[in-house]
Amino acid sequence: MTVRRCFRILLYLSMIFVLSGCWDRVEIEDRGFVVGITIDLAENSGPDENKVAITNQFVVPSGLGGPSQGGSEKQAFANLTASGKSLFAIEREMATLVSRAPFLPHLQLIAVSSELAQKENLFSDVMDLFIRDHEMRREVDVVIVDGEAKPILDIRPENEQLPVMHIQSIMENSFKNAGVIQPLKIGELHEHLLNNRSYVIPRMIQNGNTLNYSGIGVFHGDSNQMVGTLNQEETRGYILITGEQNGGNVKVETDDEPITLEIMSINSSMKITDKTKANIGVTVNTEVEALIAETFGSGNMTTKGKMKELEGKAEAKMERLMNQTIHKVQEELNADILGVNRVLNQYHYDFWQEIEKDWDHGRNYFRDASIDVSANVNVQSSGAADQTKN
Amino acid sequence: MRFGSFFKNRQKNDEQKQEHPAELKKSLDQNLAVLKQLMEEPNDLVIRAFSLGQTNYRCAIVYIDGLVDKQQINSNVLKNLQLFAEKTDLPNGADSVLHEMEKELISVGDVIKADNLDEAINDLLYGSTLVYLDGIDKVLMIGMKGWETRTIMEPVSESLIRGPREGFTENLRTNTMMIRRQIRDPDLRFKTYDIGRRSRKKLVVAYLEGVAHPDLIKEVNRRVESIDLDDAPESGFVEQWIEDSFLSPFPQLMNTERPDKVSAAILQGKIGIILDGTPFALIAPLTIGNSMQSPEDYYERWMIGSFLRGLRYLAAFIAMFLPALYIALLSFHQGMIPSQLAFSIAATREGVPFPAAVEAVIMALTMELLREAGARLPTTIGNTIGIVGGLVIGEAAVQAGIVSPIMVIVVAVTAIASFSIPSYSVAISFRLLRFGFMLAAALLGLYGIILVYIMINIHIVNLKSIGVPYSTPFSPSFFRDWKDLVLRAPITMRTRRPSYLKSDDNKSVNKGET
Repeated sequence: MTVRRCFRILLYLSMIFVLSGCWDRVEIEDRGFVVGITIDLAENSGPDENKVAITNQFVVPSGLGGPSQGGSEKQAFANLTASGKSLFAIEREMATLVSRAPFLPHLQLIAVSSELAQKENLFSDVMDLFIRDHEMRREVDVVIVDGEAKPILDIRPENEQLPVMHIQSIMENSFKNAGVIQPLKIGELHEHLLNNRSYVIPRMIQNGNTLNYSGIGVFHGDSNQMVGTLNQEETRGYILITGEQNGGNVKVETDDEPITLEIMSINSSMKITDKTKANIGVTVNTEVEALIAETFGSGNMTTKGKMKELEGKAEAKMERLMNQTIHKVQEELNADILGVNRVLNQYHYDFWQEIEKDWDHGRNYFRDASIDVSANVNVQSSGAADQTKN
Repeated sequence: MRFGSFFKNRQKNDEQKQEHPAELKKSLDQNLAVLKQLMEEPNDLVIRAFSLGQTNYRCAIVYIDGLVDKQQINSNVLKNLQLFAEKTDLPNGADSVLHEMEKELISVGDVIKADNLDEAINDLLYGSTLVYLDGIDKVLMIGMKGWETRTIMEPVSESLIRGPREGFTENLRTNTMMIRRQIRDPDLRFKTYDIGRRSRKKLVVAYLEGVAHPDLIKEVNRRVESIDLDDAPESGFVEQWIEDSFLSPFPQLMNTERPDKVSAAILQGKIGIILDGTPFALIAPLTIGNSMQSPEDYYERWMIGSFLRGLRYLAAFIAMFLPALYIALLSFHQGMIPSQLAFSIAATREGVPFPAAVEAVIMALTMELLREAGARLPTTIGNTIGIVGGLVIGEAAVQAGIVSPIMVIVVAVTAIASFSIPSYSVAISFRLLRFGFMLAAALLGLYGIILVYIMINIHIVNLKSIGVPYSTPFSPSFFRDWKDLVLRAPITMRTRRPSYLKSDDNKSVNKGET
């Protein structure tokens, strides 16, 4: 073996280490797994200077206990709060407070307080770290908490050991309820932040030890600031207009008999009927497939007349829900979360170019647009039985 | 000085040995004297001198006690020569008498006339009986071997649920018989060699003329001819002498105890090498795909066969990579483990004093020790080893806080996976490579595993078995052969012999074609 060859082999071997990028060997038990982060306004935050307080929920693995050991006395999590101006600096500061440095790839949830979200531009600034940092995943759920966000990490769930896991499962069950929308991933939020359209983020209300995942926070696309919220009813209308999600239920009264319909699928389409600056006409058509889930009266549901009546009542109710929502976003919130701007952009580009600057801000064409809604409900079946009592 | 003289003496001995008068004499007494002098009259050498019938022709029967069937010699040789010789008219001249003896008197099938003493002694030591006749420098060699052998038993190292239950024995003739019985084809060739300068073991190269590629036959024969050992006690010696690369961790010839495996390989166009004195035959060439095959893949229906083979590929992957992946994921890439699992692993590793790499090495070594101890011990004690090992690894190590329970599972799954690789020699080389992967994972994580994996792949595509690329039919690719690689296609679809063997007669199934 010549010197030349030796040198070459050494060179190749050194490449293995030089070209490998960064890695570090930290054993799994030395990692401080952060599962949830809440972001609040710091208490000493002045009016000009925005200081934020971050709370990390660390997993304490020994508190989880193995399946054989049963429930452990030890708490399975530890919450730590630090505040400052730069989130990254806060996270680094956190490392000095705990024996195990924060490890973020297992982050599941980012909860932002509504107070912080209402500050202009602060929300998008805060989110920057979570989108930019290489340790973060794009699958993290983002949620807005009414009031202060930090206390949600302290709730004591019944059958989960980690509050964050509990919150996550609450959010994943959302499809059962029409009053909420699917959890928003930070990857999707990134999309919203990049384009100027208004968007919504699911909202959570804490009530003692229980959490209520209901309604949505409405963010204005221009300032990335929360301009208001929609309650459960209004959220239903929002879902019916956008067809964003399938599922949920609608209660209908026919002949004094309340009947609950389970929504199987929602298909909505939006069309621009009139495009003059003075009057922008929009129609929304919503096709709903539903099942009868529950009846409080007696009688056979299979007659055609009864079905027709039921469908008509359901349509009327849905249209009412939708109109209520439209009224709120147009008059009160001034934020086009319904997607009218997207339809304009995609199908009427030239016209959109003219009004884009003044859509839901400035001259505010959105507020003046007339939006007509029509629902078409098709009740597929009466459920597993046509009649349960006489 | 002393060593010098020692070597000198040795050299002298060698010279003396070569000087011995290796010629047959005309006189019977002289011949017997030469024989006695050569072997220094061992007490298992039997010399029985007598007169041929009532004539004056003196003759002698020489054999080695224990190597021949004495009863047969008495009834078919001795009796005939002593009694029946008087009835026939013996011709004059020793030459004709010997001819008469060969043709008429000795009622044994295997009789050869020899005029070379070396050849005669070689055969004598291999169980032939020599018949000397006074007045002629020729000798008759009667093949009536009869020694104690193990009966045909089920192969110990390769048992099947479905398939022939017979395995090779230590006896070469029995082994060739078993192959003959499976392939009744006149083109079946048994080429015989004597291996070992001193031991002169018989070695048979078995192949099908017209099916195996001539170059392959030539190459195997050339390599076998080149063997120059004192003794080859096991076919492993032959394997190591004729293999292509002794630096490779992979076996380049397959060894098997199963006659059905050898005959199936011969029918594919491969070459079997059978050595006397060992039940392990060799099959050449071997490719990486072959090492994952079991005869049962073919005996069971194709779906089952394919499933089992797929399972085995999975097992090979687990046996090689699992501990390394464990180390890499736990020490470098915790973000790649599903969250809940990551937390519970972290919980179980709480209080374990070693890093994952040390933990894995400890456990893998313990496992290897257990396996080794279990393999060397008699079965009765072997069970004890199992219990002790199970307790030590499964319970005590975890409770003592030396290793985590997850590690026990990893080691157990790895061990089970490595046992499900059909070929022991392949499995053991996989286990060896596993430590390489573990080291790489401990240093560089997944990146290291990939590096070692690439290195092994480079090695495999460079490796050859008797000139046939080891990685074929993956690369060089013979897509037709993929029917019998990871999947095992139905028998009616596997109409050709493996393309990489370039058989002259490549059809192995005829569906009504001529």
